[in-house]
Order: sequence, then C-alpha cells, then structure tokens
Amino acid sequence: MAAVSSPMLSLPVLSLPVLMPLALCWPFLSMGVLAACSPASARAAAIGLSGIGLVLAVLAVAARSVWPATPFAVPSGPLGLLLPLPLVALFVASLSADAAPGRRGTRVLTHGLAGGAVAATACADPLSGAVAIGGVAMLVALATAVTRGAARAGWDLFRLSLSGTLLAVPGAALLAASDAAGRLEGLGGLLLTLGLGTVAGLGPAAPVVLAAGDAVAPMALAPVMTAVPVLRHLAEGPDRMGVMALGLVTVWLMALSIRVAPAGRRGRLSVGLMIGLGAMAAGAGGGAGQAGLVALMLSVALMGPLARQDVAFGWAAPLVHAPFLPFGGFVLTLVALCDAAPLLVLPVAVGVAVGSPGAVGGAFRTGWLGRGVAALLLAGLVVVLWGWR
Amino acid sequence: MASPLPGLLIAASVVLSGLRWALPWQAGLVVLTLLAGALDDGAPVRPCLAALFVVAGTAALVWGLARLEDRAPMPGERISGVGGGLMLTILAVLAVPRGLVDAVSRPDLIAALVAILCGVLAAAIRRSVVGQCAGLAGAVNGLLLLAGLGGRDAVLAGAVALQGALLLVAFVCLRRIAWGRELT
Repeated sequence: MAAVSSPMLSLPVLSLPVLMPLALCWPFLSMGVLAACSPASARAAAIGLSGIGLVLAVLAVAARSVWPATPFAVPSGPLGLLLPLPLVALFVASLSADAAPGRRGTRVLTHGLAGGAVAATACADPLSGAVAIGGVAMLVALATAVTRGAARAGWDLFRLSLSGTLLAVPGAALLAASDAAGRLEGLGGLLLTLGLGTVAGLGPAAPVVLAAGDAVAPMALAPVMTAVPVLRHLAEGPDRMGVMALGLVTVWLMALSIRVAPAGRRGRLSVGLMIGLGAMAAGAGGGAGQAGLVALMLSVALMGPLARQDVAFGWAAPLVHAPFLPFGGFVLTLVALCDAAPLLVLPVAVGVAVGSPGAVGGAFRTGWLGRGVAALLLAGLVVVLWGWR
Repeated sequence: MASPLPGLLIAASVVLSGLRWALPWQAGLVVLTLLAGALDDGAPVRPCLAALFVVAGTAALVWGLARLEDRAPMPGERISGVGGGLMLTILAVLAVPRGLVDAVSRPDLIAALVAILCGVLAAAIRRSVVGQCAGLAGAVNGLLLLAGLGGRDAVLAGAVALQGALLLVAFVCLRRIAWGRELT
C-alpha cells in the first residue's frame, strides 16, 4: 500500500505484488488453454505452459513475493524453495512423452493438481492449507477411481485422504482458536500432524498409497502434489517429535517393502523412502533439516514422475534405484538429527542402507548426464547449507 | 446448541457403527441435529427445509449402496470398533481440559471429537465399502457439529456438501467394483 501511494514508483516494486497472484493462477489458466487445444498441439502446449508456470514460480520465490490481503506468501527461509517443486514435477512429466498423460482430461487435471499443490504450499494459514491439501488429495483419488480397473484403489485413496482431512481440519481449528492453550493446543497440533501425515501417505498409511500407484497417470505425480505442501506445513507445525516419528515409521516400512518388491515397483518405493526421510528432516528442524527437506523433495519432484518408467529413462534409473541423487539430502538429514535426536541417526542410516536396492547385475550404469545432475545438485546443496547455517 | 444430545447420539452411533443399517442411522442423526438447531434458533423453516433436502438427496444413494453391498461386520471388526471407540472417548475426555473451555460447550466439543475419531477408526478397520462409508459419514457429522459449535457457517456448508459428495463417490466406486467382479 505504501509503495502504491509513493510517488517514486519503480517497476520492480510495482510488479512484485502482481507476481504471486500470476504464479498461483497460471496453472489454472493453462488448464483452460489446454482444454481448448487441438490434440495435435496439446503436448507442445503443455510443455510451454508448464515451463512458463515454472519460470513464474521461480521468479516469485526469488522476489519473495506476497499476495496482499490473502494468506498466500512465499514461505520463509529454505522452505521457500518448495514452492516451485510441483511445477518442476509437472514440467518433467510433460517433457517425457511416455509419462505425459495421453487423454485430454487427464492432462488438464494434472495442471489443476499442480496448481492446487502450489496454492496449498503458498498458504500460510494452517486451516486453509489443510483444506487445500485435502482437496488436491481427493482430486487425485477421484482421478484414480474413474480409471478403468482402479475403482478399489481409488476408493481406498479417497477414504484415506478424507480421513486425513477430517483429522487435520479440526486440529487446525483448535490451533487457531484464540482461547486454546496448553493441552488443547497440543491436541490440535497432534491431530494436524496425524491428519496431514495420513494425507501424504506417511506412517501406517504408506502401504495404501503405494499399492495404488501403479498405472494411472495422475498418480505418478501424486507423491509430489501431496507431499510438498504437507511437509511445508509440518515443518512449521508445533508437533516436531510426531513428524519425526511418522518419518521414521515410513522409512522402516519402505525399507522392509523394497527388499521383497518386484523390480518394477522399487522406483516408487524409493520415492516413498525419500518422502519419509524428508519428514524426518522436517521434524528435526533447523537450517540443516530444512535444507535436507528441500533437497529430498527436489529429488522426489525430479524423479517421482519418472519412477515408474525405468525402461524408457535409462539414464534416470540408477538415480532412482540407488540413493545417489538424494545423497546430499540424506547427509543433511543426518546432520540435523545429530542436533535433534542423536539416537535416531543409527536406525535411519540402517533403514536406508537396508532399503536401497543395489543395481541388479550391473544393468544400470550411471551416465554422464546422471552424474552431472547429481554433482550439480550436491554443489547446490553445499551452497544452500553455507547460506542458511 | 443448547443440548449435547445430538452430539452424544452421533458419538454412540459411531461407536456402534458395526450395525448393518449404519448409513440410514447416520442420515437420521443429521436430520435430528438440524432439527434440534432449528428448535434452538426460533426460525425453524430453513433448517427444516435443509433437513428435507438432505433426506431427499441422500435417500436414493443410501438405498443404492445398501443394495450393492450388504455384508455384516466380522466379530473382530465389531470388537475393535467398540473397544477402540471407548478408548478414544476416554482419551478425548482427558484431552479437553475442564478449566479452559466453558462448561456449556465442553460436552459438545468432546462429542464432536469422539465422533470424528471414531468415524476415522471405523473407516480404517471395516472391510466393507458401505461400513467404511458409514464411518466417514459419522466423522463428517462430527465436523458438522464442530462447525456448528464454532459458528463457522462456511465450514458447515462445506461439511454438508462433503457428506453428499462422500455418498456419491462411494456409490460410484462400489458400482464400478461390482461391475469389475461381474466381469471377472
């Protein structure tokens, strides 16, 4: 408001308030454009539109933009980097011809899901954020339910996300109540953590989510679309120990499942392992924990859409199977745990070591592209940690 | 809301959600809650119309769901539902402190929390789709009660819409599952 009334208006200052609404609304606008596109040009349009959305979100994060008079703002500190991650996943899914959904309705829906996830990530209010996260998760479940042969999986997902939302919304309402204090506030924080963890498929809910994610296109993006906003809210929530416990349970569940899983599903289970580690980093808190959370979720955003397409993406397969890409995030999580709960370091390290499947018969070799991407990410992590510790 | 009776009835219904006719029981409780609110308000026309609308909108879905699947709960499900529900009730009574919330709204708050927790529990332990749907309907009823308690009209309207959407999704999914069974 002060900038508007000031006579010395400069263009960047004036354009900053516009940037955040534009970045949040762009995926929903591109839904409309895609719905009107001809099938021949739909793939090119999806790539271009998701690329523009990604650039807008990155600009909004760089400018630390806010939407005045609404709860939408770029999260503070390293958590701000979580904002463009759903759009990164959408862009990667649009680029890959096989992973990109073929039907027009599915393609439009994935853009809407990414938009909802970005809006839920940007929402600073826990109550509105919980409602937005629940809406996104239920859209994923509905998209699964109407797919041929996946009605039972869709119903299970819908039941799970509705249960989580029904726990998270009263929790956020209890937290927001002005007269709540002491035990009531603790109860609200516990309900919020449990509910959001259930929506993201953390803890005991993980097997249901992973069992459902075999074939359907929106489900390939579901881990990113639900985990990014959930972990953003959990990282700032009041119940840190609960988040850490949920992350530990998830890591162990994934580690036990990966050993007996067929080769085709190990990619998705590795994604679940990264999300569990991310929850542990969010619970540990501090600069290292938040940077580790961002690094792990960046890995999920890059690899989540490709995790079921091992054969088509030969260069990405070793990065998904061996925890090489999220190695930096893993190290940062351990560093954060050393500050928060040193007793947890050993079980987490053992869980990840047991759960990471080795390359089968030397079939996967890391190419120059994979090594370059991993080196770039590790270098970025060092810079991030240097800046925020 | 002057009396905690609807909330306690909802909680009891959720604890006893192992019954075969759980869904009509839940719909009847929603109507009862709306009518009790109407008697409190002194302007009974709109809540009565809303109750009529709820009954008309959900009766067909409930009847369709009961026709598609009518599986009685296993004894283990019934035992864990009732036992877990009682334990959650005790936990909710302990968790809501006596001094911080005023004496009038404390039973309502406890009843709403118990309804939500027991509904989610029933949705997790029941194996039949209709039983899970009944549990979730009970949890949405608890959210309805909580929203009415806090005077949040937007949440109240959203919860009513959610109740209808839940029944619709359960009906569509169950129908597709039934088709899948017929094909295989």
